[in-house]
Amino acid sequence: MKRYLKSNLSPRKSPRFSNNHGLSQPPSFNLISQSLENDCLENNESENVPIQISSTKQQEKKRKCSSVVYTCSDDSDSDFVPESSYIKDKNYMKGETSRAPNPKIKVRAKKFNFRSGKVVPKIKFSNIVLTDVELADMDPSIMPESTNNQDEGVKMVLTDEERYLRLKNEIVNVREDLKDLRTKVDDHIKDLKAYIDDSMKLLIEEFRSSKQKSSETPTHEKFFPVQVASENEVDDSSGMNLSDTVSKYDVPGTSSTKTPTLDDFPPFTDTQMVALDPILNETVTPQLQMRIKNSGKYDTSPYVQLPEGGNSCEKRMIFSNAKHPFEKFKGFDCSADLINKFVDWVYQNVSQRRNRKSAYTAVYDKLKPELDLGIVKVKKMDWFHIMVHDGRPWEDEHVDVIMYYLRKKDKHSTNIRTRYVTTDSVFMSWLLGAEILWEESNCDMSSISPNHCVGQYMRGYNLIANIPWDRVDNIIIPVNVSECFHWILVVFRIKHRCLYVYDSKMGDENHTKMVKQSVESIARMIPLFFSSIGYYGKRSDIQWHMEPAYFDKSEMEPLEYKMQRNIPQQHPDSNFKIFNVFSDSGLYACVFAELITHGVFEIPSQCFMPKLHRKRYGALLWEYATSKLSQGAISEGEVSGKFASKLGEPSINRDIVRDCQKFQMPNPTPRVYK
Amino acid sequence: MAEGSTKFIKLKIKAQDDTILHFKVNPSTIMKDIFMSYSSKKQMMNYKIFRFFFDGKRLSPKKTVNELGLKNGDEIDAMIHQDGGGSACNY
Repeated sequence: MKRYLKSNLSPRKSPRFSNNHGLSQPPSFNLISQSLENDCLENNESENVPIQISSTKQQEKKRKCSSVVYTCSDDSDSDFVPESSYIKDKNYMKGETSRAPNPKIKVRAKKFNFRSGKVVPKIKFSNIVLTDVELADMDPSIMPESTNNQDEGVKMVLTDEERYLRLKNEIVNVREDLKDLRTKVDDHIKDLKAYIDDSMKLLIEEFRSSKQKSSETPTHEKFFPVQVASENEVDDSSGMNLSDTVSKYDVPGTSSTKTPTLDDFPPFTDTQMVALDPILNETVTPQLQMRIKNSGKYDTSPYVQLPEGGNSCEKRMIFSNAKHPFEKFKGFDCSADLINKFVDWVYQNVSQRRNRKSAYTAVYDKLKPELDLGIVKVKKMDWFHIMVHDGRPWEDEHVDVIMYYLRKKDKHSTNIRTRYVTTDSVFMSWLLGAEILWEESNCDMSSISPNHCVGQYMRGYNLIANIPWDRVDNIIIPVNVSECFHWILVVFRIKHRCLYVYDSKMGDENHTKMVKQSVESIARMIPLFFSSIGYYGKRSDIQWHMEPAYFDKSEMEPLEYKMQRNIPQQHPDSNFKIFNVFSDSGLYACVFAELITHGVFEIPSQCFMPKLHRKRYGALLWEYATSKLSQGAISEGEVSGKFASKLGEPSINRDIVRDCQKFQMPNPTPRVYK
Repeated sequence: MAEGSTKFIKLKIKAQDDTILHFKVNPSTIMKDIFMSYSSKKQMMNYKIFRFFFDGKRLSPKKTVNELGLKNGDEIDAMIHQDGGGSACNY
């Protein structure tokens, strides 16, 4: 091997060795370096011979070389050295040339020679005489090169025959070496194969045993025919032995030397490998469980911030269990305890001063937090005082609130017997406004559009918990006759095509005239709006041509109206008996409405106690509002996002304003239709 | 002031007789200011004569436009306050 390599490298290496013989020398050139130092003059002489023969170009080269040689050869003056080069060299080596010969300088000079000219090695090789031993060690391939390079030539010691013989021997040796290598490599590979198979077997055994541990199967022999055999024959159960026995029990036809592979185990299939996966995966590190985040204090707190002004968009709303205040007590029953409690609460801080606008001083008047009654947020104690106290007339807010909860009562009830819907007090003013417009435009139907507020009331919009009028039988309308400071109740029974007027103070001519005026306007306007919204087409449950009320009447004809007789009448207040002041009409209208919701259209005139009803309504509303406040609940329809839109379109989700401090506008989102 | 203060909201206030007044307001204005200006346009001294509704719900005069969630182009109804208890016949 060594030889082989050397022969390959030798052509490259030979000049290199010759070049820097001063620095690093292979052992074969030791002699050369020594001889160089000793025989510098001889080198010069020997150099002269080729110069004389060679051409002028070569001469110049040689001169340069000689000049170099001259420097290194210790001030030996020679004639044919050109002056210029000599001077140059002299200048360059001024300090050194003046001195006596010095080994140091020699080395330097040699280095310099090496840099400046390449011909120097030729000179050095001129006198090389190799010993026999060295020649034998040297590569045969170098020798011819060296002979070619040198003109004079160191003649080859070996003859052609000898070289041939040598080469032959070498080839034979190399072949033998190759054979050895092959056998060695083969052995190693065999060992490796055997080792891999054994390890695989061991692994499989482990899996099997682990499987067996979990479930003792009788199919042990079936799965391990090899192992059983090995146990019978051989005492040792090591891996190597196992492989030997396996080879014995191999399938006939395969060579005895062939080691078994995974395919040799018949019962071991791919599916079993898959089944082994969980066992393999046991070593894998389990995946990290993500941190379970506990929600913050704000989210877990039981108190809900109302959507107005607060940022509660992420929280779910809690709805109060009581949908409306009339849910708790059926009929007109109300517990005396509740009424007493409420009356105590109202009257505890009443100011004694007379002629006050409010019954309380400013400190006690303020309700904080305000009580939420759906459409109205009660901020003042006086609101409840008006409700309870005798002689204080009800305002539109009181009537509206009670009408609202009556509406809700029907909407959330399961009773199908009487369906009704109530309107608020504003409905009447819209109706009157529409009538004025209609009269001004000379009965032009274009002024009566379904998008008008009255039309929207009828179609089920513009009011919280409103029901479309085509799904109900009775419509309860509280009417404020503003001319005579009076509340009346008008009930429109659709099947009868008739308005029933419940007036709590009848008899006065002037009064009845004004009441009739407002009722007539209702009777005139409702059919017009019905025709404009296509009401009659919407009702499929009523066959209009079969109904006696609709039989011989056109659509636009005004409704009939009927003043209800024998209903409870107001009594003048005890406080203002002298002036004959009536102040309970709002309450009466509400009580009539509630009776009608129970299906009582003929109201008996006896046993009507307005004082009790005042307290009852007040107590019911107060109890409902406080329970709502304590639960932190908000009613379904009262959340601002749930309103029906104005223009008769489906309701729009209003963006909840998140930050009021920065006055940010809610993002312009496209309308989402439900 | 914040950036949003430059934005304006246009509101309509509709009376009973379908007359509409347009208001261009800052989202941070208190409703009371709007009501006051409306009632002064209607030649009323007190804004409490009117009841202002939005979708059937009364608007609180102490809250801002932004707090009530009013949007551009929303229509507010202004109704005259209603009261009644019967009548004082023999004045």
